[in-house]
Amino acid sequence: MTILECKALTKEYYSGENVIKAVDHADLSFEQGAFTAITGPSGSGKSTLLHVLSSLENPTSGEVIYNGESLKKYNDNQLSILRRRRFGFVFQAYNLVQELTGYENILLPVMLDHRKPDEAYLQKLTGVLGIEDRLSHLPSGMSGGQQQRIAIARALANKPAILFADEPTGNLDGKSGREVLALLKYVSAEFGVTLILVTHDLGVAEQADRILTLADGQIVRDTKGAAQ
Amino acid sequence: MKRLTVNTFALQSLKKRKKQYAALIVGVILAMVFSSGTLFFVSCLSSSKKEIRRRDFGTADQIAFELTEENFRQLVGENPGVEYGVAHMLGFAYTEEQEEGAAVGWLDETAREYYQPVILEGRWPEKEGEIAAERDALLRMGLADAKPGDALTLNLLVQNGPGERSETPVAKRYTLAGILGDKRKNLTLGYPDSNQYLPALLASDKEPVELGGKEALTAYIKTPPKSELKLNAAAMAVDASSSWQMFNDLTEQTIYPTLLSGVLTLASGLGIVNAFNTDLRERKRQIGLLRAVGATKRQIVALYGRETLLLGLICAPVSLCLSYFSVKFITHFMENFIFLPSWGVLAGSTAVSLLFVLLASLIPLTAAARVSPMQAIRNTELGRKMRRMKIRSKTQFDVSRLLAGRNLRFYRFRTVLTALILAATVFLSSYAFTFFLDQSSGANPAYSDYFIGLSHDQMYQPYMNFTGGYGYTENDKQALLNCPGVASVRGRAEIYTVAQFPEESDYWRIAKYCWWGTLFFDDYQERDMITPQNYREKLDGAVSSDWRAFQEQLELTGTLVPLPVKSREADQLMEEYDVQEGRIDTDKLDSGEEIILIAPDELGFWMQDNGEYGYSSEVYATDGAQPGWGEPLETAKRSIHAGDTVTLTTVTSRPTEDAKLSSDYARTDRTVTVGAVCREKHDIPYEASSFCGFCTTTKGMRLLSDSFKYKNLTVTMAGDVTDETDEYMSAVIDRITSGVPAYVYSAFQWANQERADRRQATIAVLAIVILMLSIAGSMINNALTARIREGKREIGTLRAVGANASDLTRSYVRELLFMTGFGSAVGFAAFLLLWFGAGFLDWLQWRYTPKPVFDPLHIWQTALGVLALFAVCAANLRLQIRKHMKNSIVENIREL
Repeated sequence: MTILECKALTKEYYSGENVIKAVDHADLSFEQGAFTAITGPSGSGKSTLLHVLSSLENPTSGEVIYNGESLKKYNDNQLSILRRRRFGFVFQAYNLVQELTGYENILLPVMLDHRKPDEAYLQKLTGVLGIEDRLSHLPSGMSGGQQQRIAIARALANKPAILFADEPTGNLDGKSGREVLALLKYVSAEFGVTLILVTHDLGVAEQADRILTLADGQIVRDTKGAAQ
Repeated sequence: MKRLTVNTFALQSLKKRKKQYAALIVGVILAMVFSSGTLFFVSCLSSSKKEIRRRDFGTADQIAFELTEENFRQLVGENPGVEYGVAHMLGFAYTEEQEEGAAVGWLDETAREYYQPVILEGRWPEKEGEIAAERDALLRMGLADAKPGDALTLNLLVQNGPGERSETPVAKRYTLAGILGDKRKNLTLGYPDSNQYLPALLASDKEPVELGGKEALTAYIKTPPKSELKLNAAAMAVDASSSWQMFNDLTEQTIYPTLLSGVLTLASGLGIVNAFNTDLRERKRQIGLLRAVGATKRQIVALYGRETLLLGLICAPVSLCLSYFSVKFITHFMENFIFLPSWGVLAGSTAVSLLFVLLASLIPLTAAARVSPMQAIRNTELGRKMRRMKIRSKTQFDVSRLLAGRNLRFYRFRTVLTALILAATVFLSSYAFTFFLDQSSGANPAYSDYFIGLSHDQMYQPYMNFTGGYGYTENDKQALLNCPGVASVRGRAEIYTVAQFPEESDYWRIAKYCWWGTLFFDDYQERDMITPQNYREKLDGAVSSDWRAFQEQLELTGTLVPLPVKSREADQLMEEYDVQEGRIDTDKLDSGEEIILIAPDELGFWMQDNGEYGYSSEVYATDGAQPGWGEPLETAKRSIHAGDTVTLTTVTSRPTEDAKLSSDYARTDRTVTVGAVCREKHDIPYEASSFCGFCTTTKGMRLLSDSFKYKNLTVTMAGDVTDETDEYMSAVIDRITSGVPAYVYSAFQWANQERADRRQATIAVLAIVILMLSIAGSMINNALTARIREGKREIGTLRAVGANASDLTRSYVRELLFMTGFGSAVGFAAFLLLWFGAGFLDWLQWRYTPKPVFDPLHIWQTALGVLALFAVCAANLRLQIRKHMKNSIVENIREL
């Protein structure tokens, strides 16, 4: 079943008088529960595609359709609600709120939605991610790997439908990177979450169900991954 | 490729950060305006003082008059290094109709320079027969309408050396060449007979002394600073320096605006430190990168300091214009001020203010340069600070509240400092509104439309009168009555009599204690020996030699009590007195058959210990005793009642040097019946309130003394006073009061003045409060805006996890709420403490009232100001958040 699709999706940037097409007429669809890796050389537009798909940026043209509904119709507030309820994000630079503890960072989307946290679920999640002992710490007191695990837990705290990850292992050493990737795969499978991950590491991409390769903003290859 | 220098770097930074610099530019301009404005203001005050001195008093330090050639030579000999100008006095001129006149003389070149003539109309006299007259002299001579070119025929008493003038006047015809601004009146205000000696009618140097006469000299003296002048040769002199200082003391005008500007300058300095701090915090990463690529601390300071210098130079012309117009605006409302700007001072003060801005910016700049490169890039400092704090993780929370709370906690030093600036503003603003704006002195009903009184009296003895004292005559009263629109003119007079009572009583014994210095002792040392224990023993039977001589000369015996007799117009009596016994019969008062006795039912005698100065005495009605006096040493019931008789002896003497009776004194003895015993309803301004005395009608007073003068005149107008009638009345009053130490009150002018004062004070206070609130507001705003800019990435993260604009705004508004709430609470609490403390301490010290009386509290204006500040800051925060919301989330979270 298709959960997310895009039609003729284009994103342009302006650099002086030059127009740079970061994403050029992309037509894609993503199946629920699948793990898709987006890869390509630097500047190929893979992160931009992820940002536009996840509503972090607006497309220049084309549309993104979530669950059969075009996001074009959504106003800012509706997009905020969508992000906090249905999407999860993991960034390369973790992007934790420095003033909040690990647990508070995890709870952010739940609290913004004014809901009671599902403690059993969160316990299980933090247990799976191995961060129970870091929950009361501030991000400044954690290693990169720990911060990224907290970021993953935050992304999954609201039981999202899709988890977007932008180079989640980019800032981590090899071991931590592998661990985080394994966790991402595990938790998305365990909690039935669609995973769309940007990486320039072919080794990482190989582990996906599907690999999309971009060059100059265009999808040049759409292949099945090793996991398939 | 353009060469990268410190200047090009600074210019590029300024161009790139135009928007961020907008707030900083406002802060810099404000600081420059306050600091340069203060200096410029003080300089304008100083130039105004000099100009007022020149205009109203001339530039001489001393004026010695009634000198002979020989005296003058002696004066010059005694004071080497001192400069002199000489006025050659030719006589004293007056008109046929008016007894008052002015001295005539001509000035040599130096004297004219020290005199500093201000020519109002016409010109300086150039040939024989021409004079220029000071405006006051023309008024005194009844020549208010004289114009330059008019021929004036004056009676001239020809000078015949110092102190001597011809007994019969010569009719002298002068042409009025010009009308001059007053000097004589200002220099010798209240100085008796000064119009006899100081020239107010100035002739040309070609004017000879009349035949048979001889000039007297008046020396205009200018002393070098700090030199002591010997005036042994001069019989009389006027201290021109102290005259002008006394009447033109601008300290009060100077001190408050200067203090306020100082406070504002400091506040704006703090604002600049804060604004630069904010700016540099935002650019910490940039500084770190520059440090990482090898920039030294000095280079960092030079790079960013140059930006500040350029910023200051850009702001300088604006602040220069603003300073000029602000000072012009403020001084426009100041009385007795002449705006004479010095462009050099203005430019100099702007340069000083630029220096002030550079110094203020140096504080955050050196602090920023001290940060290590990695600390700047990674912001490790915050991490360390956070780790030091014990944070309890929450399991449920409101996101905006938690974020606001954490921010306030992590940045508590900045938060508290900013809030304290607001607290100081709230405190000062509440102070200004409560203690400054609410001060309003109500008009005294006894003044009526016009009140013409005496600012000081000439009483020498409590038991006799002297002729030639200050006061207003029947002619003056009539002149006022003749003015259009005047309904009534009422005069109050007072003379001193000796009352002779048929029998001894404790009441009159105590009453006499109020004159214990004059009636009992010759020597003050004896008086100082009196204590509450020995006063009866020391006072009973003691008589001063003057008082004894007076009694013997007049052959007075029995119980003698010196008491004043006041006069009122018949219709005034009921208004001003409460009848205790008997009744007021104005016909009997007019005929001298009866008199009103002013005396309380019971008198008390108190003594106050003044430490090393011995004791002072207080005789007063026991029911009117002040709370601080304690119990009286002695009390006595009034022994005289309505229907009793009393003999009043009124003696009028020529003034003598030792205040003794002259040989040709006039004496009146009258035995009168006490028609009524009364008490005064309220105090009359500039008239001593006496616990005991007599009162009668003006007609009745004439029977006691026919040479009395009115102490004050009260004018009631038939209708409303207009500008025209007030101008007319003022001219007439000016003429009546010329040469008299007068106190003049005009209800019309008072009301106008009070309106103007209140408007002025309100504008000044509001302007200052708004400025201070703006400074506090901009500091709060800067702190929060900087936090938003610094937290750009955090905003992106929160947006990514689902926060919308209102979630984000709420968080910052909560911080704002805390800052303004905390600042206001501290400010209001401190002010209330002061307000309560001031009222309570005042009461503790004096206890005039049974309970402390507090000034009415005016804090709502400040509260309103704080609310407005909150609203503006909240709106700005909303705007800032909206601005970030316009960017995509990716733009928010992207690294530099």
